[in-house]
Amino acid sequence: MLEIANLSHTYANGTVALDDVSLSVPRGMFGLLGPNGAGKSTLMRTVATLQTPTAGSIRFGEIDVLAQPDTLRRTLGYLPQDFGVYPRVSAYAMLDQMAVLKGLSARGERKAVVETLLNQTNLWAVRDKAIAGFSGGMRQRFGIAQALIGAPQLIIVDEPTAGLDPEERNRFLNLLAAIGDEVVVILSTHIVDDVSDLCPRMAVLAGGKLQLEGRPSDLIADTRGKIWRKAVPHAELDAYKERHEVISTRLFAGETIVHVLADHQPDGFKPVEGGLEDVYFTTLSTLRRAA
Amino acid sequence: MRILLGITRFEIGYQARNPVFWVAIAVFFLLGFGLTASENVGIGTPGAVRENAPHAIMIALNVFSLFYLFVITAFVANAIVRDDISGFAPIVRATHVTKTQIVIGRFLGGLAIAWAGFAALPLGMIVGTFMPWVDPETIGPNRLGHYGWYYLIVAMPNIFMLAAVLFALATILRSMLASYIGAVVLVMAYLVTRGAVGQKLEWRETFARWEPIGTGAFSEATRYWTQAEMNNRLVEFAGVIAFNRFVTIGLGLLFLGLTLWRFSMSERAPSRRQLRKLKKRESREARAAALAPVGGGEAIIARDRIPNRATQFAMRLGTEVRQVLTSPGLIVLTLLTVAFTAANLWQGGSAYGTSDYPTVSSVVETVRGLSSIFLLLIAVFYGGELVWRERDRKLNELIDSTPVASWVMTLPKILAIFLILVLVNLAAALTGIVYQLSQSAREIGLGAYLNWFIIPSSIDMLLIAVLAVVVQVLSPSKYIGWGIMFLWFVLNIFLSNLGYANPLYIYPGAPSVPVSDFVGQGSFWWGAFVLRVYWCAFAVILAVLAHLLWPRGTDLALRIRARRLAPAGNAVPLALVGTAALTMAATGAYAWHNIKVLNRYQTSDETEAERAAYERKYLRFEKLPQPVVSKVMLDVQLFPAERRMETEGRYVLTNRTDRPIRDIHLRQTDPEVTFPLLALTGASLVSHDEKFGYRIFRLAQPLDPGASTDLRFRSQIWRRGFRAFAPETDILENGTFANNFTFAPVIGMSRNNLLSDRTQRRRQGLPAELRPAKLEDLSATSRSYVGVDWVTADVRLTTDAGQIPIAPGKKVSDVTTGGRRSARFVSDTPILNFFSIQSARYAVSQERSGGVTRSVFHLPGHAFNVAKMQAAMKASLDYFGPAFGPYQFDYARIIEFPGYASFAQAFAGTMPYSESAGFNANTNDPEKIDFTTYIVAHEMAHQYWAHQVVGADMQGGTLMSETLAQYSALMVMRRLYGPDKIRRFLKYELDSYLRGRSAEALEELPLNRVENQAYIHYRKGSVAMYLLQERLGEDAVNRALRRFVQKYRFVGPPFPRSLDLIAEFRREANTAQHQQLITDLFEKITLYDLKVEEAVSRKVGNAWETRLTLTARKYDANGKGAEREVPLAEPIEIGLFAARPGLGAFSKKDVLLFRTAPLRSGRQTLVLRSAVKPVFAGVDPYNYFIDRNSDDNAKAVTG
Repeated sequence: MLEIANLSHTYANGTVALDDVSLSVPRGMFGLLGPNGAGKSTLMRTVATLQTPTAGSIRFGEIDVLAQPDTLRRTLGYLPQDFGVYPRVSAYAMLDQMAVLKGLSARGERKAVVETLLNQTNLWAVRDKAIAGFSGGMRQRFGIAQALIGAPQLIIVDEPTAGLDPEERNRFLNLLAAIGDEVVVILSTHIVDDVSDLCPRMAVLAGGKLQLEGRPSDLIADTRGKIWRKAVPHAELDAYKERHEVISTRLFAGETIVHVLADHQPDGFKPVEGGLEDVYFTTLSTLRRAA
Repeated sequence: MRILLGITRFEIGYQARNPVFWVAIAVFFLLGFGLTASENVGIGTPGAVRENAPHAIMIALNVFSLFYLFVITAFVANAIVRDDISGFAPIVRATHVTKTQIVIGRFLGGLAIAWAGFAALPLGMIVGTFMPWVDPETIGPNRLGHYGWYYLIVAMPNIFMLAAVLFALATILRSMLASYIGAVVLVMAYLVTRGAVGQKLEWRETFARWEPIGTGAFSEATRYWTQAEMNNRLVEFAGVIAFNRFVTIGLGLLFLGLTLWRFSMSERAPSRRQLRKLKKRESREARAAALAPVGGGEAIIARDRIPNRATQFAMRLGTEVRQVLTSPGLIVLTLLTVAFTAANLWQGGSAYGTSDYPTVSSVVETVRGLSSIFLLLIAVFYGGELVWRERDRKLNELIDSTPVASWVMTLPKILAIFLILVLVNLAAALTGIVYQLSQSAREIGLGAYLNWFIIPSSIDMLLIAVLAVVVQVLSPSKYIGWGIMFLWFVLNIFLSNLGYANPLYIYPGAPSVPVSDFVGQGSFWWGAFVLRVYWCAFAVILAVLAHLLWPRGTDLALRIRARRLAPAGNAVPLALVGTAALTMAATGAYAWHNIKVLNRYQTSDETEAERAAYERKYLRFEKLPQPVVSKVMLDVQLFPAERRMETEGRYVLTNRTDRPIRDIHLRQTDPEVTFPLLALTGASLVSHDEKFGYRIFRLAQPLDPGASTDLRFRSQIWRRGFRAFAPETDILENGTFANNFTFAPVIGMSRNNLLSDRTQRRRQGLPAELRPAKLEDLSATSRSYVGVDWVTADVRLTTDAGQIPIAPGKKVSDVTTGGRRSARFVSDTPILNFFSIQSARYAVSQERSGGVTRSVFHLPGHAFNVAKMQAAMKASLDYFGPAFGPYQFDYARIIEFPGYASFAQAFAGTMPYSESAGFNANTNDPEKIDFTTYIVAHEMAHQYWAHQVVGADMQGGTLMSETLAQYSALMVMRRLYGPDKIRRFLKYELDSYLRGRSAEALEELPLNRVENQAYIHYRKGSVAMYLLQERLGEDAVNRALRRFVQKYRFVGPPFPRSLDLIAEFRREANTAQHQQLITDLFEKITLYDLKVEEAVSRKVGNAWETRLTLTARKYDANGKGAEREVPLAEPIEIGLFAARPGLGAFSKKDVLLFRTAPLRSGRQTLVLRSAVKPVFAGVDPYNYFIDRNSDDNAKAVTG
């Protein structure tokens, strides 16, 4: 549905943000995973018509996005990574305004849309409150509500769960899950669980390049028998890092658990049933080594 | 202590990010900058005091510290109320910080930031002095010490006190808005109190001590400082200044204490109902937040997918307007506008400290003049705020990804700025209307507000708003955008100061549109309208640019945005630009035709250079013997509606010299007047300098002494189209006022129309001064100082039937035929060949007594002072006839003319009096000087002093006109108001003289050598003449004047010298003392210092005995103000009074004893007796003598 071909972008200061990215995104939820600074936001903004790439093309169905940005905007829902609001403006008024800007002029229809969305995102009770005073979760729900105005065919959600507490995040993911399979939803995030929870397809973007693309289950299957874990004393971590290809470390009950990548089981390590996280870290680790 | 400092530091940091702080800095920087860099901005420092003199700094810091109040409100009130507003209060209150720490800490923080912000004013002044167009002679060295000292003793205590007062106000009111309103009330109350109390003499000292802003104290401490002192001296921190400053600081501490006492750390306990409500709401919100979201996108179907621009536009406009209206900066700027406007309306007044009746034109003129700087700042400030708002609030990505056109974003922003500008305009207009209502004006003139002020000003501001938005659209940062706007502002000043101010290239420029109640805007609005259309078209181009280059998206390099300018897909914008460009071309060509073809256009540099060239080329003919005009015959056809006047004239030229004259020089003073005919009988034109309008005729047969020849001419004045700057205002649809220097040729060269500004003259390589001939130069007696001679006249003036034609002379016919009214005026009595003709739809008041018809011609609505003027004319004629000799006409006319210029003038029998020069002043306040009567009496006196006797064109020439007119007016006033009330006039004149001395740039001269210096011939002249008649006797002085008139009536050339007048005075002086007095008054600069040291009274028998201890000194001063003490031994008035002499209510019944006593230099004691216990005792209590400190002449009696 969304076809990105040979997309490159170099900023005026010489930073290469995207380097020949080609990607095909079908209907349904698509996870775009990548560390901070990987070029995710540049890619998202470029697709959302906010900036023009140096080279490449983007098509969404019949729409040539770069040539007809306004046509795409009519069917676009975009939740930026970080957004603010006007001071002293209520959720209802702001949503109403966004509806108008998206082209819903008829008052009755707009009212129905705004009220439905406020209900669906559970903001009805606080519709008259200034958004400036909302909690992070409420604000993100408002964000998705405005992105859903006018039943868009392409929804771009950039880092939506950053800073949300687990419960808020859970609720927010439920909301995303309810959008349905008929539209293209790109979820850009650096949190692996967001993708594994929601997305039937995904890609990993790092260093401005597409590193990996596929179904999470297939990708996980590829790592089977290559990931091993061990609890090590914190003091020896560096030594392990020298000897093994450590892809991730985390603390558990006061001990450091390391995951390493190896074709054969190293000494003292136990096999792990790899998760998406391991896939992701493996990709990043490979990239780091190459650098 | 550490906590306190921490709070202070936080407060400073917090407030430094407050945009109000930066706006305030910009406002006060510009005010300071304007004070030194622009001649149009001033706050009442005398002429020769430099723009950055310590005195000017003192006044600036003092005056503006009061208005700074509105800015302080933003800092300190915010510090108090913001915890409650933001809901942060419980957190603050839960810490172990004490109330004192919070209050003092925040106060210090707010105070520090307020102090820092105010420094922008002196900084602006300093920067202003470095501007290249500023005349170096008006700027002294910038000494940081001068700024620092007054910042320390003027600004810092004032700001401390104001901050403390506001702190207390905010603590009690607990709301920003209420604090602002409180601040307004405070300023109003202060101004009203100052207006009511500060002017009164008996309160002056008390006021100076206790008035917390220190205006009174500083003016008290610097009263009668000379120019040198004002330029170099700093006020010492002592005496009244020290006392006043401690009062200010004490007041501040008092209010700070009040705040500490009233500030409460505890919450106000909410009521039970509020608690229930709160609980309900909380649980509802908690339920809402806890619910898992349901549903999905498919339920939301919008059928209308075509973006509807109109709805989007309306929505955006609503948002922008709401955001702007609720922004805190608006209230500050509006209040400042209103306060400045109100201050000028209520405080402003005419020359003698009285206010005008609120005529529509004068009020609207004041209102529109003041608000422009604030409107400009608003436009610039909000331009930045609005263009950057979405990006500042991080809303840009949300909005930019919606299908909304850029113009839907840009246009509402421009309109929102426009709306606030209109609102501020309305606020200023409303201030004017409130003023009119408070002064019970007869006519408000809502239409005038709309047409003269709100509409043109709004359009100008819209143009600035468009520019501000475009600049911000292109600018990489809000602050750079503001900087660019500031540069644009300075550049405009720069260009206009260099004389490059053609409205065709100054955005947004338009010719000025002066207003008057005679014609409203007349036809002047048309030029301004055309230029506004021209610039509006340009603004459309700018707005299209803003639309195309709107910072949309996240990659905003200009290079990338510039791609959007490609013609493809931009048909509508291109069509708009094309239409706008065509409109510009059409209106521009039309304006160019008006400015350059129909009228004369010169930059100020060109004008200056031309006048200098004129002087270099022709001033050498100044003393060339020329015939004089002896007879004038004119037929003037005036067409008011066309603003055209055609004159057919004949002058009889007579050789009154003792030699034959061969060459006759004729000048025209206005190059735009055409002379289709200019023929001199028996002569041919030998040279015609068209550039300067200078013609030289040569007689075939030289004109013998006593012989005459005829000059015939036809002239046309046609004020067509519009000019680049100010319009010509002589020929008008209603209220024409033209004089014969314009519509008739002038014989011979004179110094009129030469450069007079010292700086300009030096710049052009001319001597800085053109001083008149020395008193001893007898050759100069061949010319009168008016530059013309005695003529008889026969003038016919024809105008439209609805108007009344007026010219000098006795009206011998007045007929109306065919829609034209024609009147003929004949003067067989000699008049000076410098006269005016006037025509307007006048109402006339006519009275007759003693064979003289007295008329006042005025606008129908301007009858405020007509009865008073009639009475004044009558009183003058009644006094002058017996005193000086017969009045030469059987008519006397006062004629109002449009207030484009502010003066009253005496032509023969006719006295044009400007609408704005006090014709409509309210002079009925018994506390103030009735200067309507004073001026009428003065102009009437000129019918003798100038129109019967006129002095030679040399030193002392004006002694015989202005000084004698002042004396005559003073005598009329004395007759009307009684001698005991005359002190107020003398005191006014004395103060003006002493102030004038301070401002003298060249050399002060004694009266007999006065070189047309107003402060000498008017001000000192009044005081000197009054003392002369006190000593010699009124009869003796009038006897001398009567002889003088008899001797020189209509005589000249040669014209009399000041010595001739003084000789007549000397003939009446019978004692050596009186002879010495005449020497002191007229031939020297003499100053006295008379002072009551102590007056103690005790009862002796039935009477009261008062021991009066006083000191007396006498000084001679030279032209530079250096004084030398001389022995004093002369009789001087002493008196005992029941009230302070000189007050409005003081009258004869308060005089217990009044006589002269022989005084000598030094301290001396007199014993005086009175029947009643005296309250005041005085030496020279009525200010007959020139005394540098006349306030200590009277003192309250003790004991």
